[in-house]
Amino acid sequence: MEITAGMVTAIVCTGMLVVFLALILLVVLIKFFGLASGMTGKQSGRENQPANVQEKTTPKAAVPIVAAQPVTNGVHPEVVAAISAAVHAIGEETGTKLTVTGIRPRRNRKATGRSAWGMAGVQENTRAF
Amino acid sequence: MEVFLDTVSNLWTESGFMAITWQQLVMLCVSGVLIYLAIVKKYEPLLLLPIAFGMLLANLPLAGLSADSEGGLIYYLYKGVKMGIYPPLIFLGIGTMTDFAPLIANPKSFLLGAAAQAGIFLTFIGAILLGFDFNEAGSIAIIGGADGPTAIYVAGKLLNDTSSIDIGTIAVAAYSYMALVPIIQPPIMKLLTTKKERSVVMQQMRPVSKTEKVIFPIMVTLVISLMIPSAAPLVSMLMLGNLMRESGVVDRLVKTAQNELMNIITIFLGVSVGATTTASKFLQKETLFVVFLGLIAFSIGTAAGVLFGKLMYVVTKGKVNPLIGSAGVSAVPMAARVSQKVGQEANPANFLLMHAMGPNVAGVIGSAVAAGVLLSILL
Repeated sequence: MEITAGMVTAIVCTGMLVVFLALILLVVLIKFFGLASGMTGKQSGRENQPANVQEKTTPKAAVPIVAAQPVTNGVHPEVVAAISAAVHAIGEETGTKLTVTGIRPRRNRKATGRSAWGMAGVQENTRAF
Repeated sequence: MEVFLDTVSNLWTESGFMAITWQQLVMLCVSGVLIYLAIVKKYEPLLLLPIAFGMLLANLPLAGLSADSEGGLIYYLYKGVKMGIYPPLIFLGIGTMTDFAPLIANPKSFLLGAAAQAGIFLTFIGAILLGFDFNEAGSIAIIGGADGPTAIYVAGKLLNDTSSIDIGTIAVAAYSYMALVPIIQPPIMKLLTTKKERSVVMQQMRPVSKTEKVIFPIMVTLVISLMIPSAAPLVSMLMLGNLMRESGVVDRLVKTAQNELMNIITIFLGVSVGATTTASKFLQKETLFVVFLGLIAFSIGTAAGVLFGKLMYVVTKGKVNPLIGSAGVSAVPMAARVSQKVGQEANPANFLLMHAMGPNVAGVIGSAVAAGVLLSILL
């Protein structure tokens, strides 16, 4: 092949165009397949809905127990129990009497997109990098 | 006594000491430096060490261990490079070790992988301007793909005995720059982005089902092989390896492909590619041009990825961190780690690693496609 400016331009433009076309086609196919499998997932989710509704109604009976606790700002009772147990354990270890007076969720969660536990997990897994 | 002295004299005159040239001595020093970099600095040691030792072997006078010494050990090992066998087998092993889930979860990452290939095609122009012919320019430009096996595959197909450069030079430049990704990329990334852009925290990716992971390699193989048949050897082997991994039914084959097979091929590939770098081809100005153009290719690829990332940042109204674009140059997983590190410098609560892995593995497919395009046009 003779080297001319036109030939070089043609190779460069064709090359970039084909690379983009091939990968755009893959984007479309994967998007389409992802949507299709997502719809299948939603359908199977809907089939299970009645059972979920029943499950959701059951925990309401436990609400009065939580109401006896200090200010928890709607934090799940299991989380309250876990935090209280952890505080109690530390109190026993150090020999001091610690009391949980209130638990509230962190307000800056949106800034990182993760909960404190999620952040700790990601920190642990990406520390090597 | 006379016989003894004659024998010693003959041994001396026929030894390598008498036949060695100053150019070969320089090459032995170069190979020594590369061995040092591989062992002490740990610059891509898995490949740089055998390549450097191959270079040492090729420049031993009278040993017949260069890749073009017909009948020698390396001559036959080199057939695997020349016939395009080793790089696809390396890709098979890479496929068994690659998780494409970040790419499937965010398929737009493919666009970043495509944009970063601009380094290949723009460097092609630079190589032509420096006086290389089309085949040589294509072999140099593919260094911008930041993918060692792809660079060796393309150079093996495009270069011949009359070429002014050899595969070894391309391989050494490609692997050296891949090892230098943490040094080359950050200044370019910081130059092209604002702190606000670098601080963007991306949304968590959706989970990917096993069905999607199994369909993905089959889909990619079909699409790429039908569009660009010359990219099929690389892409199909990469995807076969990945299908074996994701299917979960051939664990024995997966273990072999990612360990024994990969290691054997790495040794053969490294030594035989290194053995192409004889003094007559390596010690000339064209080698310096290759080193210079390789750096340009890497830099342009990084810049193009980041600039396309900025475009996605604007289009998505700030949901995409442009730093993940630089990972589109391939160099798995080093380039993704660099995105993570630079992102975390701007915002310590930022974790871009998995987001950058999408463009990173897209870059592997993108550079294989670019290689196929170059081969189909230039061969």
